[in-house]
Amino acid sequence: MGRPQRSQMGEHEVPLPTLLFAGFGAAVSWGVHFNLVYFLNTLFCKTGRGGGDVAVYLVTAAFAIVSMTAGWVAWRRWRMLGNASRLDQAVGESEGRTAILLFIGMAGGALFTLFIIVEGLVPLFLRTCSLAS
Amino acid sequence: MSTGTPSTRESYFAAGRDRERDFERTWGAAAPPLAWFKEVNNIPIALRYMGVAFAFLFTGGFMALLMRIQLALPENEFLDPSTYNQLFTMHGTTMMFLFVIPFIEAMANYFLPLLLGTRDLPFPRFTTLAFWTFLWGGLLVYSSFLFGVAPDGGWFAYVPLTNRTHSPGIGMDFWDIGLSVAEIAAMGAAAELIVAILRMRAPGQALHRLPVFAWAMLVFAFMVIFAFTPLIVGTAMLELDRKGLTSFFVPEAGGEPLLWQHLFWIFGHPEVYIMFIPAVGLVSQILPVFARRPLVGYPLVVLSLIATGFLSFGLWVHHMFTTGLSPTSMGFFAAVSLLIAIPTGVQMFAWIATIWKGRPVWRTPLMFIAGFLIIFVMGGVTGTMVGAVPYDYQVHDTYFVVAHFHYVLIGGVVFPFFATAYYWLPKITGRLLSERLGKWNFWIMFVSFHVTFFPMHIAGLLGMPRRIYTFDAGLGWEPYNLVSSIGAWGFGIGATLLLVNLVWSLRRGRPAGANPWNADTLEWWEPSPPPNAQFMYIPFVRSRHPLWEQESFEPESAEEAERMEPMRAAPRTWRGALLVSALDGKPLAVAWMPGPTLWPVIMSVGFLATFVGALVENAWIAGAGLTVIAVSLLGWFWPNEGQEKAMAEFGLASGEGGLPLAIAGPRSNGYWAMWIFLVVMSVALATIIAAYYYLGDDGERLPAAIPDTGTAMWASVAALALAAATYWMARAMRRRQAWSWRIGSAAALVLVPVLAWLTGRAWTDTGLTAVESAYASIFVTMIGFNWVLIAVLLPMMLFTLVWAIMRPADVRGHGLAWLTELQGYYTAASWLLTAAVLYLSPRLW
Repeated sequence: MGRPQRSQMGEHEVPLPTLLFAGFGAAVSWGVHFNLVYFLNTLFCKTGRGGGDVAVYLVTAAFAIVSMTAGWVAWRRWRMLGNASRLDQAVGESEGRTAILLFIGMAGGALFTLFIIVEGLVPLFLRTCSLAS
Repeated sequence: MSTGTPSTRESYFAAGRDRERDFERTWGAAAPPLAWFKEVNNIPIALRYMGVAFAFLFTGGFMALLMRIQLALPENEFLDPSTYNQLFTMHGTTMMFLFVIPFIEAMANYFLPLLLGTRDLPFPRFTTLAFWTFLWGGLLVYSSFLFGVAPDGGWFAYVPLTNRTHSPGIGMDFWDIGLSVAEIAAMGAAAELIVAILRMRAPGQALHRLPVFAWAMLVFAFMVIFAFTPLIVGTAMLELDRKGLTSFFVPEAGGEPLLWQHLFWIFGHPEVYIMFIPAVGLVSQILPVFARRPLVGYPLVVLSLIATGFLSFGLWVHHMFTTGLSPTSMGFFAAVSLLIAIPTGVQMFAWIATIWKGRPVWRTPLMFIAGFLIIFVMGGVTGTMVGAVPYDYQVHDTYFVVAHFHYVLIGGVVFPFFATAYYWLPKITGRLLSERLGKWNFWIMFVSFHVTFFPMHIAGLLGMPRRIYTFDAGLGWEPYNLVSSIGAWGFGIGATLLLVNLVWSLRRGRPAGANPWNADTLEWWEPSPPPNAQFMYIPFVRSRHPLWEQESFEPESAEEAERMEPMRAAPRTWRGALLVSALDGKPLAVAWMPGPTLWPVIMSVGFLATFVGALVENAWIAGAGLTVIAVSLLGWFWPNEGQEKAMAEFGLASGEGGLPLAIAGPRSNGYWAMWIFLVVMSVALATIIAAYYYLGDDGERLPAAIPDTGTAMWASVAALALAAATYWMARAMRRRQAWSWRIGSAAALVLVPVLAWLTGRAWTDTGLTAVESAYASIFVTMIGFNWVLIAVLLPMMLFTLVWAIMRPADVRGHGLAWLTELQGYYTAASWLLTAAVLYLSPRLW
């Protein structure tokens, strides 16, 4: 992805796929990560194979990177908005909606990355499987 | 098309009395005969919806009072165990499914178009169908009392308690089937809300200017789609098991009772937030009005709504901590159960900061919101306590949990609803409520709430289990139960004061005027009560707080004025609404909206008959119901005069500066609804696939003999051919190549039954009967799911071909072809995925 150019007010066009990734990529990463670690943990326990904790760590690292990337893209684009990033100002339609989605992505990137990491650390403190399995 | 473009800003709101009169007549109430049944406008339908939901609230509340009489004293015999079980089942069921969700959707039906500056919801007939279906579903469940067979297995319907052996008779069938009807209505309404919020707003209402309630309802609607679908799949599985047709939850046949708990709680926990998130939206909407300043941290509150929506799907297992899951699995869910306090905390601090920095006026709505803040925080604290696994082990299934969720649900939902009632009723009735009575209403409810539910924490900690119809004397629970029972009656009386106040206001209340609270959002721009023909002149929005910050609602430029001219007190002879771009709120097109019709109520009766037929196992009744549905669909989609007027008046291409009519393709509402339908089907398919792997997760319950791939391979070839024919059909339609369109449609139409036959053979080749094992049950269910898709596709493809042959130039046929294209691809893809799961994955296992 090329470096976005700082542009004048009214010219803050962010391609829709980039905007959606920046805005909601972190949240979706969390959702996929959560279900995947639960599934992998159950699978490893049921089949009696070792290494479930390692699988959780690897998946966690991968999705934390995706989540952080989404947050970083949002932050980078948000900075380009200049005054329009201040949503309390009377900004125009396209700048304003871009700004709020990027803000959501930026703050959401931090939040969901934290969640992914916290959940990924669970096997450090707890047995991967119950004693019965 | 137009009667002249306004040359000055002043003339935007004056299109001429003739035009206004025509507009009002077009949007007016339905004409007799059967006017009441023909009505489809969002305002009267939402009022009925609210009325019925409120009736269910008081019915459910009355059941709670009866239960509290029973529990007031030890060894009480006011109710027998069976009646008590029926009451607690129906109390939970009523509050969850028949009051809160329908009431939220009814409020949204009424107020969202007003908040968004649009004239109606995108699918008025569907709104009406959802209302009638909800009504029949609710009455169906309640009719079980008349026959003395009310459901008694709890609102969670755990198996094996609710299987045929332990819950004989048709009580739980009433629950299963009645709720399915109500759930389908709720999902339909949710789909409609998504399209409304994304596509039907005032010009200029870009996402950053969206009222928080609209954001909340957007999150709510997506959550309903993702949460209710697994429940519908689960209840269908339970009903099939109860009918003796399958063995999903029968351990002897390789089934798994815990699968039900997963399916139920993956709905059940998001359900808590499905109820709470609209309340967040309401509080964020109302509180700033009485704090006399904008909401602090609007973007953060929106983020927290979205984050809560996502996180709520990672909590369900905390209802199952005591079922023997692995420590790590419990750790994942415990982590999310605690982390969700972060976005909720953001909302709390935003509200507190808004009051802190504002100049609060302590009217009744703000008092209910203050009550909400206090009670919900207390419920949230006990929520984080039970989110911790060791603590949950101690209090699981005790009255501590009962106390916790009533603090969350009554504090987090009912108090905001009462705040909203006091805030919005003047808009609905045009009359102000009594402040004095309102304050009595608040204080009695607030105090008696704590009197009722706080002692339950202690009773729970002393070991009192929930769902018991009585208890022995001498256990130390007596005083807490007696106090709770006294408080419950106080709460009931307090809640009833709202009705008293409403009646008083209708008789003696002062006229409210358009904006009695000096509020900031668009609903207060319209008169109180608003006319059916709302927004005759569509306002231009340039602020998040238009009534506080905007001096003018007129177009700012001649170009804007010219573009909106076809919508100025117009169209005059058919109902038209503005469609805007989802992100920017820029005017894009005009949608044709249907007028009064009987088809929705007729179709709802068809649904009722179908489900009653299934309930009493009478194929004739079910068949009659299905026939009524089919006929209604035909009548519903039959070309009508209104559409023809619209097409003649507007043309289909955008004129210079004008707005096109959006009937076909990605700009039409129908296309968006089709995508939502496919999302629903995808969630259903994902749920079934998850159930397949769950049932086989120990490597033993999967098929002893992996099914032969022969027929499935041919079915896959047919699916690919279907996708290719669909592509051909759709491309020819878009290129206006009539003959290619006909040939493509005909080819696809032939391939649909071929696919059905081959998938059927794929099943019969295995020799499996669905009931013989859990594996056979899930195998047949996956095949059956594809048949459902095929059953939807077949008439769509047939009518696409009819349009292609009869009227290939008619854009309504093109509209159907766009939708059929999506369904065709999806049906093909669904089979390929099914084949991969059933035939390929066992070989890789």
